[in-house]
Amino acid sequence: MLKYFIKRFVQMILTLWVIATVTFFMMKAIPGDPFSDERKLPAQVVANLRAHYHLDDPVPVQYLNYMANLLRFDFGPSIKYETRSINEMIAEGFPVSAQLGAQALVCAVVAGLLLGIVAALRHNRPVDYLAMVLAVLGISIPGFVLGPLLQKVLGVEWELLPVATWDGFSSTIMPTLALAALPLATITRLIRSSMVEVLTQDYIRTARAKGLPPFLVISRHTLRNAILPVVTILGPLAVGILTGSFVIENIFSIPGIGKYFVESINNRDYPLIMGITLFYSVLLVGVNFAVDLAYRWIDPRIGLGKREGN
Amino acid sequence: MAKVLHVEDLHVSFQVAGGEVQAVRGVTFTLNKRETLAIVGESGSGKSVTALSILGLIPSPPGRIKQGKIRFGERDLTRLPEKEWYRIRGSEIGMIFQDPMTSLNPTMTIGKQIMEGIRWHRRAGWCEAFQKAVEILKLVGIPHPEKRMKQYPHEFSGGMRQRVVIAIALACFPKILIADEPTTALDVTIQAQILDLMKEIQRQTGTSILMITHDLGVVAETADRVAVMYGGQIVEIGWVHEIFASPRHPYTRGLMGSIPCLDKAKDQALEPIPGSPPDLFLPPPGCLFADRCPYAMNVCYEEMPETTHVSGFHQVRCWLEDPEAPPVFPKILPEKS
Repeated sequence: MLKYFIKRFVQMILTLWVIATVTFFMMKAIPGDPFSDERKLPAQVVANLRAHYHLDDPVPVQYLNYMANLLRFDFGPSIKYETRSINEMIAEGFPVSAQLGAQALVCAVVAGLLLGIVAALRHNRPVDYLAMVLAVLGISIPGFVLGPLLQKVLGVEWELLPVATWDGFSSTIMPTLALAALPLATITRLIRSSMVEVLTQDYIRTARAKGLPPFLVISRHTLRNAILPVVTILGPLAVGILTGSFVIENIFSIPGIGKYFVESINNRDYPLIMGITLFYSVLLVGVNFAVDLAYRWIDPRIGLGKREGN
Repeated sequence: MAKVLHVEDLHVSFQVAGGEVQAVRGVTFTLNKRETLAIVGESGSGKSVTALSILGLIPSPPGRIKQGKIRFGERDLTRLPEKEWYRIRGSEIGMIFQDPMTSLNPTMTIGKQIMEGIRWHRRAGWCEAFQKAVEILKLVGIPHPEKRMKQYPHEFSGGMRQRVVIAIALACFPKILIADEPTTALDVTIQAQILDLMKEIQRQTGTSILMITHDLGVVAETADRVAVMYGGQIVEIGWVHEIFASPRHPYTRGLMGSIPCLDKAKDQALEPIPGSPPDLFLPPPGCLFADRCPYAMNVCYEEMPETTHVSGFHQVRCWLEDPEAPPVFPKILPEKS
């Protein structure tokens, strides 16, 4: 068990190193730099600025310096926002993004599971068809269409919810919905089909032959097996919510990390690009690891590392 | 002998697109205490559907018991409300399923799967249920039961899993064990072990066994009486030794003739029954076997034969048993008199 954890940890560090390296060189390959603004700066000023940020060093030297700083968990200062460090900006923006992401994920999982289970238990009946229509809508309408649509209907026309602020729970509802729609629909479809399949399995008949009432057959024997594909897809879904939040945060002007990220690329704010990319990478690698652990916990047939059943 | 179960004129149909399939068409039999009754037949003969209706597990819709009674003690199981089934299934009637690879929940320890029934039916606490489950695992011959309780199905071999499936069916010591092809999915060597185990369990617990199978070897090995099913009906029923010694129905004779036999000369081919199983979607008015029967007479195509008592328990549903029918069998198989 410990061996497995160590192995996975080393793998995660390696993954992060590869991501950092690739991002670093790709970023340097983009033409322009933080100072190529519309306002023409005197050549001497630009040269001084470049020297100040060590941008005049050869790229490999910059790379080594950056990696050395990373080992000290120092992402360096932002170029655009001169007075603030990247660490500060992440610390400030992340709680907002995390709240939105977590709300969306919880909403997607809970509502998706409920809708899917109900649809499966009422297979080929009106409730099932209704759930499937909703699911197809959720999958086909992208968040950047759903977001403005919600703003127009709920915010502008019915004046039920604030359009684009970040102030209290009511302002989180629309972005959460816009962000959760796709994963919710995906989970609904997945759990429905996997429930329908599990319900035809022989071991469900065994459970019924034991005399268990339907409630116990569903809760003990069906759900746990039907939920496996959902757990598998939870990693990618969390990734989708994270990347989706870049767009949604911009639409609803939410002061999260997503907004900084889009800006940082436009500004060639090198340290900020790197900092946010790496921060999200750590999150994703961590989520995937958690999903693997959950999977192992739910399905005993999957062994951790070499500890296999005989 | 004390009757445990009496099935009378059972009809089961499945509603399909464009009509109904009559899977069981008037089955009558009795299961006595401590006896093993085998139901033999090819696939589609209605033997499994008969077994499932005794447990109220006919998938409905599309399945439906259209007619008949299943007497179990004072009750008629065909009219039992679903809630009362929860007290009977697993507690008074247990079922052993065919494929041990798929009949166990892969994400639950086998201990939990056995204890579940005990806790539900006997309202037993965890410790009590655990002790009982360990005893049952010992009874079905699984070594180190305490350790095995905490393991998952994938950690067991096929034969061991079938023992677990039997343990689950046995958990509350039911009056009737229904075994639906319990050995079909197993290796031949394991088959014999499982059949021996079932006989031993019957000796120790006094349960009655309804053995559903297509394997006449299993019948000879385990059963006291045997019912031969064809096209949703019992065509012949009687003591095993009677049926094996003097089968009366042409279908039963066909079954016997299609068993490989070491006594026969090497160049003598097996005798398969010609033709294919009947269509239960629109069954003809007469005997369903008539199309494949070498002795079919005109009346066989027009009218359903009644059940005739040959001797004590031996009953046949065939027109050849009619007093006016020509005596065919002695001429054809004189050595089996």
